[in-house]
Amino acid sequence: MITIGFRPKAGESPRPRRMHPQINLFLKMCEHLFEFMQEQDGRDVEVFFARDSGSISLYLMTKAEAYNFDLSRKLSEFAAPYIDRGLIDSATLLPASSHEELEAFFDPKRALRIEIQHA
Amino acid sequence: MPSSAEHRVKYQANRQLLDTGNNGTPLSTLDGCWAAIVAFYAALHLVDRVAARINLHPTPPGAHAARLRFVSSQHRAIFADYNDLKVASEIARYGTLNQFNRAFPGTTVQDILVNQKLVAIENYVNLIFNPPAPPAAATGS
Repeated sequence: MITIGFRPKAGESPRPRRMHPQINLFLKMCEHLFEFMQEQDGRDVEVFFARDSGSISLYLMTKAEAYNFDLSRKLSEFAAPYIDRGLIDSATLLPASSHEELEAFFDPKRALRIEIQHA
Repeated sequence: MPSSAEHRVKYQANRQLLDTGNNGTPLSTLDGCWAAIVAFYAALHLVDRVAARINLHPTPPGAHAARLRFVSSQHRAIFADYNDLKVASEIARYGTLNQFNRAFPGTTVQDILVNQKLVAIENYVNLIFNPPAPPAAATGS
Protein backbone atom coordinates (compact mmCIF):
# COMPACT_ATOMS: atom_id res chain seq x y z
CA MET A 1 0.00 0.00 0.00
CA ILE A 2 1.20 3.49 -0.76
CA THR A 3 0.10 6.34 1.45
CA ILE A 4 0.62 9.89 0.28
CA GLY A 5 0.10 12.52 2.93
CA PHE A 6 -0.57 16.12 2.03
CA ARG A 7 0.16 18.85 4.51
CA PRO A 8 -1.74 22.01 3.49
CA LYS A 9 -0.10 25.32 4.14
CA ALA A 10 -1.64 27.41 6.90
CA GLY A 11 -4.36 29.67 5.57
CA GLU A 12 -4.59 27.90 2.25
CA SER A 13 -8.19 27.59 1.19
CA PRO A 14 -9.24 24.40 -0.54
CA ARG A 15 -10.21 24.91 -4.14
CA PRO A 16 -11.01 22.51 -6.90
CA ARG A 17 -8.12 21.89 -9.26
CA ARG A 18 -8.19 20.39 -12.70
CA MET A 19 -6.70 16.92 -12.77
CA HIS A 20 -3.22 17.04 -14.25
CA PRO A 21 -3.02 14.84 -17.34
CA GLN A 22 0.12 13.22 -15.98
CA ILE A 23 -1.50 12.14 -12.71
CA ASN A 24 -2.16 8.66 -14.08
CA LEU A 25 1.47 8.31 -15.03
CA PHE A 26 2.48 9.59 -11.61
CA LEU A 27 0.30 7.00 -9.90
CA LYS A 28 1.78 4.32 -12.15
CA MET A 29 5.20 5.47 -11.05
CA CYS A 30 4.09 5.18 -7.41
CA GLU A 31 3.01 1.58 -8.06
CA HIS A 32 6.35 0.91 -9.72
CA LEU A 33 8.10 2.58 -6.79
CA PHE A 34 6.22 0.32 -4.40
CA GLU A 35 7.44 -2.76 -6.28
CA PHE A 36 10.95 -1.33 -6.39
CA MET A 37 10.97 -0.69 -2.66
CA GLN A 38 9.68 -4.17 -1.91
CA GLU A 39 12.57 -5.59 -3.90
CA GLN A 40 15.01 -3.46 -1.89
CA ASP A 41 13.50 -4.24 1.51
CA GLY A 42 11.89 -0.82 1.87
CA ARG A 43 11.93 -0.94 5.63
CA ASP A 44 15.42 0.55 5.59
CA VAL A 45 14.58 3.44 3.28
CA GLU A 46 12.37 6.53 3.52
CA VAL A 47 10.89 7.93 0.32
CA PHE A 48 10.01 11.55 -0.40
CA PHE A 49 8.77 13.56 -3.35
CA ALA A 50 10.02 17.11 -2.96
CA ARG A 51 8.29 19.91 -4.83
CA ASP A 52 10.16 23.07 -5.70
CA SER A 53 9.18 25.71 -8.24
CA GLY A 54 7.07 23.34 -10.26
CA SER A 55 9.58 20.51 -10.34
CA ILE A 56 9.31 17.18 -8.56
CA SER A 57 12.35 15.36 -7.22
CA LEU A 58 12.47 11.89 -5.78
CA TYR A 59 14.57 11.29 -2.66
CA LEU A 60 15.37 7.99 -1.00
CA MET A 61 17.04 8.18 2.38
CA THR A 62 18.72 5.10 3.78
CA LYS A 63 19.28 4.31 7.42
CA ALA A 64 22.92 3.57 6.66
CA GLU A 65 25.39 6.45 6.89
CA ALA A 66 27.55 5.27 3.99
CA TYR A 67 26.37 6.00 0.45
CA ASN A 68 24.95 2.80 -0.99
CA PHE A 69 26.31 2.60 -4.56
CA ASP A 70 24.45 -0.60 -5.27
CA LEU A 71 21.10 0.92 -4.32
CA SER A 72 21.91 4.17 -6.10
CA ARG A 73 22.48 2.28 -9.35
CA LYS A 74 19.15 0.50 -8.95
CA LEU A 75 17.47 3.82 -8.16
CA SER A 76 18.97 5.35 -11.31
CA GLU A 77 17.71 2.43 -13.38
CA PHE A 78 14.27 2.88 -11.84
CA ALA A 79 14.13 6.65 -12.25
CA ALA A 80 15.75 7.18 -15.66
CA PRO A 81 12.58 6.46 -17.69
CA TYR A 82 10.54 8.84 -15.54
CA ILE A 83 13.16 11.58 -15.80
CA ASP A 84 13.27 10.99 -19.53
CA ARG A 85 9.49 11.55 -19.69
CA GLY A 86 9.71 14.67 -17.55
CA LEU A 87 7.65 13.24 -14.70
CA ILE A 88 10.39 13.87 -12.15
CA ASP A 89 13.44 16.10 -12.42
CA SER A 90 15.88 14.05 -10.40
CA ALA A 91 16.34 11.00 -8.22
CA THR A 92 18.65 11.23 -5.25
CA LEU A 93 19.84 8.66 -2.76
CA LEU A 94 20.75 10.21 0.55
CA PRO A 95 22.58 8.50 3.38
CA ALA A 96 21.10 8.71 6.88
CA SER A 97 20.46 12.38 7.61
CA SER A 98 19.11 14.30 10.55
CA HIS A 99 16.07 16.52 10.02
CA GLU A 100 18.39 19.53 9.85
CA GLU A 101 20.64 17.83 7.31
CA LEU A 102 17.62 16.86 5.22
CA GLU A 103 16.47 20.48 5.12
CA ALA A 104 19.59 21.35 3.15
CA PHE A 105 18.25 19.30 0.25
CA PHE A 106 14.52 19.96 0.32
CA ASP A 107 11.80 21.27 2.57
CA PRO A 108 10.57 18.21 4.47
CA LYS A 109 7.42 20.08 5.54
CA ARG A 110 6.33 20.52 1.92
CA ALA A 111 7.51 17.14 0.68
CA LEU A 112 5.27 14.16 0.09
CA ARG A 113 6.40 11.24 2.18
CA ILE A 114 5.63 7.89 0.64
CA GLU A 115 4.83 5.35 3.28
CA ILE A 116 5.14 1.74 2.29
CA GLN A 117 3.41 -0.65 4.62
CA HIS A 118 4.56 -4.21 4.83
CA ALA A 119 2.14 -7.06 5.39
CA MET B 1 27.28 29.26 -25.85
CA PRO B 2 30.47 27.26 -25.26
CA SER B 3 31.30 24.94 -28.08
CA SER B 4 31.96 21.25 -27.74
CA ALA B 5 35.69 21.98 -27.91
CA GLU B 6 35.41 24.60 -25.18
CA HIS B 7 33.66 22.13 -22.91
CA ARG B 8 36.52 19.75 -23.55
CA VAL B 9 39.00 22.37 -22.36
CA LYS B 10 36.95 22.95 -19.20
CA TYR B 11 36.77 19.21 -18.60
CA GLN B 12 40.56 18.93 -18.99
CA ALA B 13 41.11 21.76 -16.49
CA ASN B 14 38.87 20.03 -13.96
CA ARG B 15 40.56 16.70 -14.59
CA GLN B 16 44.00 18.19 -14.10
CA LEU B 17 42.88 19.75 -10.82
CA LEU B 18 41.54 16.36 -9.72
CA ASP B 19 44.79 14.61 -10.59
CA THR B 20 47.31 17.11 -9.26
CA GLY B 21 45.41 19.53 -7.03
CA ASN B 22 47.36 18.62 -3.92
CA ASN B 23 50.90 19.61 -4.89
CA GLY B 24 50.99 17.12 -7.71
CA THR B 25 48.96 14.43 -5.99
CA PRO B 26 45.21 13.87 -6.33
CA LEU B 27 42.93 16.56 -4.95
CA SER B 28 41.04 13.86 -3.01
CA THR B 29 44.08 13.45 -0.74
CA LEU B 30 43.64 17.09 0.28
CA ASP B 31 39.86 17.49 0.39
CA GLY B 32 37.34 14.80 -0.50
CA CYS B 33 34.46 17.27 -0.70
CA TRP B 34 36.16 19.43 -3.27
CA ALA B 35 37.35 16.39 -5.20
CA ALA B 36 33.75 15.13 -5.43
CA ILE B 37 32.59 18.53 -6.64
CA VAL B 38 35.35 18.81 -9.23
CA ALA B 39 34.72 15.23 -10.39
CA PHE B 40 31.07 16.10 -10.99
CA TYR B 41 31.92 19.25 -12.92
CA ALA B 42 34.40 17.31 -15.02
CA ALA B 43 31.57 14.90 -15.86
CA LEU B 44 29.20 17.80 -16.45
CA HIS B 45 31.49 19.29 -19.07
CA LEU B 46 31.81 15.91 -20.76
CA VAL B 47 28.00 15.73 -20.95
CA ASP B 48 27.81 19.31 -22.19
CA ARG B 49 30.50 18.48 -24.74
CA VAL B 50 28.31 15.69 -26.11
CA ALA B 51 25.19 17.87 -25.95
CA ALA B 52 26.88 20.76 -27.75
CA ARG B 53 27.71 18.37 -30.56
CA ILE B 54 24.01 18.34 -31.44
CA ASN B 55 23.57 22.02 -30.56
CA LEU B 56 22.03 21.42 -27.14
CA HIS B 57 23.15 23.86 -24.47
CA PRO B 58 21.56 23.40 -21.04
CA THR B 59 21.27 26.80 -19.40
CA PRO B 60 19.97 27.96 -16.02
CA PRO B 61 17.41 27.80 -14.64
CA GLY B 62 16.83 24.10 -14.93
CA ALA B 63 20.16 23.24 -16.53
CA HIS B 64 20.88 20.33 -14.19
CA ALA B 65 17.44 18.82 -14.80
CA ALA B 66 17.84 19.31 -18.54
CA ARG B 67 21.18 17.49 -18.45
CA LEU B 68 19.69 14.61 -16.49
CA ARG B 69 16.89 14.32 -19.08
CA PHE B 70 19.43 14.43 -21.89
CA VAL B 71 21.55 11.70 -20.33
CA SER B 72 18.56 9.56 -19.36
CA SER B 73 17.04 9.76 -22.82
CA GLN B 74 20.08 9.58 -25.07
CA HIS B 75 22.98 8.22 -23.01
CA ARG B 76 21.34 5.85 -20.53
CA ALA B 77 24.55 3.81 -20.24
CA ILE B 78 26.18 6.54 -18.15
CA PHE B 79 23.10 7.79 -16.33
CA ALA B 80 23.81 5.99 -13.04
CA ASP B 81 27.47 7.07 -13.03
CA TYR B 82 26.58 10.68 -13.81
CA ASN B 83 23.81 10.71 -11.21
CA ASP B 84 26.13 9.34 -8.51
CA LEU B 85 28.62 12.12 -9.21
CA LYS B 86 25.84 14.71 -9.13
CA VAL B 87 24.46 13.43 -5.83
CA ALA B 88 27.92 13.20 -4.25
CA SER B 89 28.64 16.80 -5.23
CA GLU B 90 25.30 17.87 -3.75
CA ILE B 91 26.09 16.11 -0.47
CA ALA B 92 29.49 17.84 -0.56
CA ARG B 93 27.94 21.26 -1.20
CA TYR B 94 24.73 21.13 0.84
CA GLY B 95 25.41 18.48 3.47
CA THR B 96 27.55 18.80 6.54
CA LEU B 97 31.20 17.82 6.45
CA ASN B 98 30.50 14.93 8.82
CA GLN B 99 27.63 13.77 6.62
CA PHE B 100 29.88 13.74 3.55
CA ASN B 101 32.73 11.97 5.34
CA ARG B 102 30.36 9.32 6.66
CA ALA B 103 28.82 8.85 3.22
CA PHE B 104 32.14 8.64 1.36
CA PRO B 105 34.70 7.44 3.90
CA GLY B 106 38.41 6.82 3.36
CA THR B 107 39.42 6.68 -0.27
CA THR B 108 35.87 6.24 -1.62
CA VAL B 109 36.01 9.54 -3.51
CA GLN B 110 39.16 8.58 -5.41
CA ASP B 111 38.50 4.85 -5.73
CA ILE B 112 34.84 4.96 -6.76
CA LEU B 113 33.76 8.48 -7.73
CA VAL B 114 36.88 9.34 -9.71
CA ASN B 115 38.43 6.04 -10.75
CA GLN B 116 35.16 4.26 -11.54
CA LYS B 117 32.31 6.72 -12.13
CA LEU B 118 34.20 9.52 -13.84
CA VAL B 119 36.39 7.11 -15.77
CA ALA B 120 33.30 5.28 -17.07
CA ILE B 121 31.93 8.57 -18.40
CA GLU B 122 35.30 9.52 -19.88
CA ASN B 123 35.55 6.19 -21.70
CA TYR B 124 31.98 6.50 -22.98
CA VAL B 125 32.46 10.03 -24.28
CA ASN B 126 35.83 9.15 -25.76
CA LEU B 127 34.14 6.44 -27.82
CA ILE B 128 31.64 8.98 -29.14
CA PHE B 129 34.35 11.35 -30.32
CA ASN B 130 36.87 8.69 -31.24
CA PRO B 131 34.93 5.68 -32.40
CA PRO B 132 36.97 2.57 -33.09
CA ALA B 133 37.98 2.19 -36.67
CA PRO B 134 35.83 -0.29 -38.55
CA PRO B 135 37.50 -3.62 -39.13
CA ALA B 136 39.56 -3.63 -42.25
CA ALA B 137 37.84 -5.28 -45.16
CA ALA B 138 39.11 -8.77 -45.83
CA THR B 139 41.46 -8.77 -48.72
CA GLY B 140 40.96 -11.42 -51.33
CA SER B 141 43.81 -13.73 -52.06
